[in-house]
Amino acid sequence: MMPAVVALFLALAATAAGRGHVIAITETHGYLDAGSEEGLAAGAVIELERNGRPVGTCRVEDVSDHHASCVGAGLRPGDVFALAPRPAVQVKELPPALPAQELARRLAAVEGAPVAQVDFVAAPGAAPEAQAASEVALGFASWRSNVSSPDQQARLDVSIQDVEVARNLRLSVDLRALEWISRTSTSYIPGPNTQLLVWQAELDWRDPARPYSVELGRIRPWFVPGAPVFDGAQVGIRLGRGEVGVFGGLVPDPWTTVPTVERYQGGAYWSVEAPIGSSRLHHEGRLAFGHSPELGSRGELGATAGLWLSRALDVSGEIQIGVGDAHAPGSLDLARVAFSGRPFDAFSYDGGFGYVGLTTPEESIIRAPWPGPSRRGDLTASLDVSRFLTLSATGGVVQDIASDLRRGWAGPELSFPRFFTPRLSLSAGWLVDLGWLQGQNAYLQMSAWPGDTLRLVARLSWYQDDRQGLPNAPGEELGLYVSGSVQITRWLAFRLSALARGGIDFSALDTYGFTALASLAGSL
Amino acid sequence: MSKRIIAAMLASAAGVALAAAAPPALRPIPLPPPPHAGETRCALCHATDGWRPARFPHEKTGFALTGRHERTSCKACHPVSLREVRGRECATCHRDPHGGISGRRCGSCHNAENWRSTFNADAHRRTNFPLQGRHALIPCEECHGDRRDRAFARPTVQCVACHQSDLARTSGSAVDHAVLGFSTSCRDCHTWWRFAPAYFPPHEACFAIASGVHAGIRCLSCHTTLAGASINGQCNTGTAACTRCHDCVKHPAVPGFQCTNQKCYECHRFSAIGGALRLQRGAR
Repeated sequence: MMPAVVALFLALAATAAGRGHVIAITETHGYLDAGSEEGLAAGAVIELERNGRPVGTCRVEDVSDHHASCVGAGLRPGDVFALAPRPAVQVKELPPALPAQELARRLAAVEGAPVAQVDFVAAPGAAPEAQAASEVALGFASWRSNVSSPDQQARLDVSIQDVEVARNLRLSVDLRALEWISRTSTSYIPGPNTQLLVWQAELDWRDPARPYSVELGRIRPWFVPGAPVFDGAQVGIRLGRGEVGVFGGLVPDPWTTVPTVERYQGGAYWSVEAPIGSSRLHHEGRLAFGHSPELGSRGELGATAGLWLSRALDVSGEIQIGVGDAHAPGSLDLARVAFSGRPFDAFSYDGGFGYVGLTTPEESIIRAPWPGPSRRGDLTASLDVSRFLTLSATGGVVQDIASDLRRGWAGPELSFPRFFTPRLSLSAGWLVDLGWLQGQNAYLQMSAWPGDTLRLVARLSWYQDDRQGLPNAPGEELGLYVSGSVQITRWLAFRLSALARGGIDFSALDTYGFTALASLAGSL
Repeated sequence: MSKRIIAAMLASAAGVALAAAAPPALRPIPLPPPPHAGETRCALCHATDGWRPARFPHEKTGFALTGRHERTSCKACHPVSLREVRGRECATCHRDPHGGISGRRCGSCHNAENWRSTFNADAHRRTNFPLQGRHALIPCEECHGDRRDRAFARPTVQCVACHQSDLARTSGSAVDHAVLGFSTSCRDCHTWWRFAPAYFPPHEACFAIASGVHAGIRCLSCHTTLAGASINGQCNTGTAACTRCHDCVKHPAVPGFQCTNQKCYECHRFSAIGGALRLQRGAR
């Protein structure tokens, strides 16, 4: 009660004295104890003082009678600003009231007038900003170099996510239809020139009033760690803070996504999210039986756990164990740990370690889609020196266990998130490459948002290969990556990304090429 | 007394009957908890033009709202209470389309703006296989066949894993790699851009072709055949034909001169070890 009284007293005293205060702030906004009655108007720029010294300005954004918010940086509660003297209000004298008889006559005329019903049609743009959940994109991709024939592809991507087609029934579709206009090799990309890849085509029934849910179709499963897409059903029951259920179906062909009976899986899953003291645990599990031509029949147990301990530490892990016709050493298919945190406002880190133990026998290594035994670890740390400068360091190691080829990388990055203007950012970095392919590389990247509907990214990269003994090869390469997107209308966007690479030692070879992807995307 | 008892019983029965006929008392419905658990400093998040949009400094929680997260409903991630913290891990709110193969750190390939991949040729340098040369300019599917789970995983970084058909293409040719006993580590001899011209490190000890006037020359421009060639370091294939390109008109006065390929080589080693174009004086 007392603070409120004191604040009210201060506000009254200040406004009486022709000065206002900043009473609360966020990163970008200040909240003021003066409003339109004190002479503030939206768009006005107020000059702030602290201890009698000017500390900046703030642009008034929203105004109520006695409060307002403003946009500015570097504000602190307690900053003061001058209030302009309130202009004298000119009271306009109203005309004399009409006679009662005339008022009664007009009322009768209004009440007696016929009123035709009309349908409401919202004005264009009147609807609240929609979050595009569905998109159709028509694209063209090309890969060219001066040492080979070009690859060219036209594609149509359709993504529909959680669109309610009936009461409590939602549809999700994710697919790509593609046509290879030209391609130089069919060894690695199986299938005909025209293909349809379907990753999701499911109907999801969830009634908030009922504890169970049902999904049918080609399902991208929820809460089932390690489960691939499958053609079948998933049925779940919500229990308190978690969900348990069963799932099962046929697993599509990994290269073409065509339905097949050669692969299948089924089992049970569970998920729980619960507070533990001041931290929070998110856990998912899967116990399943499946069959594939590569691994035969197997039983699998997968589990993940994410523990949000505090803003200083967020830990997650996952493990998959498999037994059956094929299995990894110790039956440990994979294990991963990831951690991240922001212990201080200005410092954050992100890292992890992963191990894959399962070797998948391949019919042909050319078509091998599966990860092989490997280890990987990496760590990135960032320090926000100011709002305008961030320093980062990153490093990592990875090992292919089958061949024992190892690589590492490490280096710093310097970035300017707001380079003179919030609409431009710059970053530059350098990495040293270690291991089976040694060298170094550096890059300079620019991201710009010239307008609310236009985004641009440009990245210039330099690579050096320290491999000895190939003097007729370009030891250095330059790459230029450019990407842009423009929102033509609220529902139509054009996107273009292109990469050009070339050797910069042309003494014996002149080698260069580029790739480009252009697409026109409509969103709903 | 009995009349009173009877009257009381009748009154009780009437009361019970009336009570049974009356609508049952409504089950008390618990009021929903206040959205912010007693937080009354509205201006921390809300502006004066309405409750929406709210502008909570989410970065103070350790999870800055960037990209699409800026425009996402608070309840999408905090369905029960805004004070209910959620993990920063993407899987807390998002499904995994990669079948568990790619791990759960989405930020390696995606950003907060949308799910279109930001993984590019430069990002590939943070794997066990940096995209050098033409590898950066081919469709991802050339190497990554896992289109169902789109996990972009390969079992190995050995060259021959992808270039097995290229290796097989040499079968029966003049440079049949299997017959000649060449390594399956393509990068020992070939560049990142194309297979020809190739470089053969053991050749440098005998005759430099990586630099100098013979740089980039094709094998069969000098060698009459590669059949039977072996990597023994003795420089004695006996198939190098210098006289295909060079004549002997300048050497008649040189003692011991013979216009044969072996004699050319005895003086003009062009060895990278001995130095390019160095004449072997001791052979005179």
